[in-house]
Amino acid sequence: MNQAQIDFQQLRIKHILFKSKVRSVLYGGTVDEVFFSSSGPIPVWFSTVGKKYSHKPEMLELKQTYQSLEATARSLFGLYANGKMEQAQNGLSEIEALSDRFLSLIARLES
Amino acid sequence: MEFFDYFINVPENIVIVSPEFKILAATDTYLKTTLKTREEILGKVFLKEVYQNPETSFEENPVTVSIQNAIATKKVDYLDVLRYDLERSEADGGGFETRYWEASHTPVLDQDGNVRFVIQNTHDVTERELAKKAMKASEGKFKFLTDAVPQLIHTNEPDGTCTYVNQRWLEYTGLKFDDLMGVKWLDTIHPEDVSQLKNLREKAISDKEEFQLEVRIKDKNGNYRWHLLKNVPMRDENQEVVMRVGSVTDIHNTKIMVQEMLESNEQLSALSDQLQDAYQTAEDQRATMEHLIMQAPALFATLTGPEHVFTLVNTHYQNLFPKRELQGKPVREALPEVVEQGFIQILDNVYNTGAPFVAEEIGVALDKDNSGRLVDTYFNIIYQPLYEHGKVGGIIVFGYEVTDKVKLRQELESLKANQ
Repeated sequence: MNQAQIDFQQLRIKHILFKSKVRSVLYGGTVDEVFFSSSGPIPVWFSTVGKKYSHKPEMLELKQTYQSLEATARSLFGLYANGKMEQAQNGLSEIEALSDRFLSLIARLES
Repeated sequence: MEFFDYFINVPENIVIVSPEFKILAATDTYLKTTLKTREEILGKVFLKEVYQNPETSFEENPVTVSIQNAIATKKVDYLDVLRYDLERSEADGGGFETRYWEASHTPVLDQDGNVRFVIQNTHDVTERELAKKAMKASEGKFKFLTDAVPQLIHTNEPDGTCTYVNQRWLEYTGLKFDDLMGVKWLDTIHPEDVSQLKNLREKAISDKEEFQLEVRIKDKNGNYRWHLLKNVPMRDENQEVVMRVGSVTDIHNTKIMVQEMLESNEQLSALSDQLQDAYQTAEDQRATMEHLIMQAPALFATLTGPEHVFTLVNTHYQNLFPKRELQGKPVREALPEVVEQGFIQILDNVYNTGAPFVAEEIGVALDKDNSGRLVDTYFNIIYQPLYEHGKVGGIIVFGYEVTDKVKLRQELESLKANQ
């Protein structure tokens, strides 16, 4: 395993954790405010480890995809909190679509 | 005559029969409804010669029974809703037409109290009855539908009173239908969830809006399982709420799974952080060591495998052979001149036995500049076995050149000898 693989593996694991955190909120869990803040592990990855790869064109798109994921998660949390549980849970498909994009970008960056 | 004219124009289905069931008179409306002419029915025996019921005999016909009752009791006799199919004229294709009736039989008495005739007044309630039947069929469909879906389904009045629960509600809670009606179903909700549910429900009912909530509902064994309860108002064309429909989905396993997944992914993430830290530490140490080794003013190399392949060669070592590529080559190939000098056997011995080899001022004849000219060179050297997974996997070569020292001593010794 080279350094790049280890770096992106970190991000991939954090991303899976991100999805789990979103899902748990939509099934009655509490929002992990630190995780979803700018000092959460994914933004921190981008501002530290990710800097090494800032010359790669996919990095910008990866960062934008994360921002969309974060914004979608926030809107689903809003739906859930306003009593629209069913709509919020159905909204997980949007997260899944963005997640596919995120993971395929990671795979391209890794290789 | 004038009176008769009034009578036949009364807009009701009226037929008058004698105590012997002979038809005495009928309104035009009656004739129109029954698709008969006055000539066809007057003087005929009611229900026997005309208006027969194809399904029952004259005696058993409920209309006959009702008229006989009216005659016997001398009181009005009412006939419940009755199916009485009317004969269709040949011109209309013949056969019978399905009709439902509601009738009253009023006996009219003479001065002596004897029945003179009986007035039958019939209302055609076919449309009402067909609508009722359609409604029943639709209720049957509704019930079938609600029992077919894998959810608990219930309906409420606009004020929230429970009016219907599907079979799954009964199976899940083990309760009887009536035990869930009204607000009694709230007793199945977990005590910690019930007040939030009540608040939400009251607000939704007064706002005429839907509501959703995750609640625990008690099953027939007394265990609570998480459900997503959703209740939506059904509105009429004036947007008034006519009823509310509730659906309850079991999310217990999903909820547990989501929680388990979160915990396991949190651990995975923590583990990967630790791994990353450990990797980073090891990598930093390795980099320091490599730097140290590469820049050290001594000879350092690692040989891997039974063929003693050079895997690491530091600058100092490489400088011994400025024109040769050592990295990645076995000793036999990289330094062919040492083969005959017995060094391969020494390396084999270290590799096979794990016993280090230490030598001071050992002489080796090396072709340093690839010219074919061998130069005597002296080293203090250690061959140390390199263990991998408890087995010798290679050899660390560490040493430093002492040629100058040896030569100096040899010169000193020869000077002494010449003195």
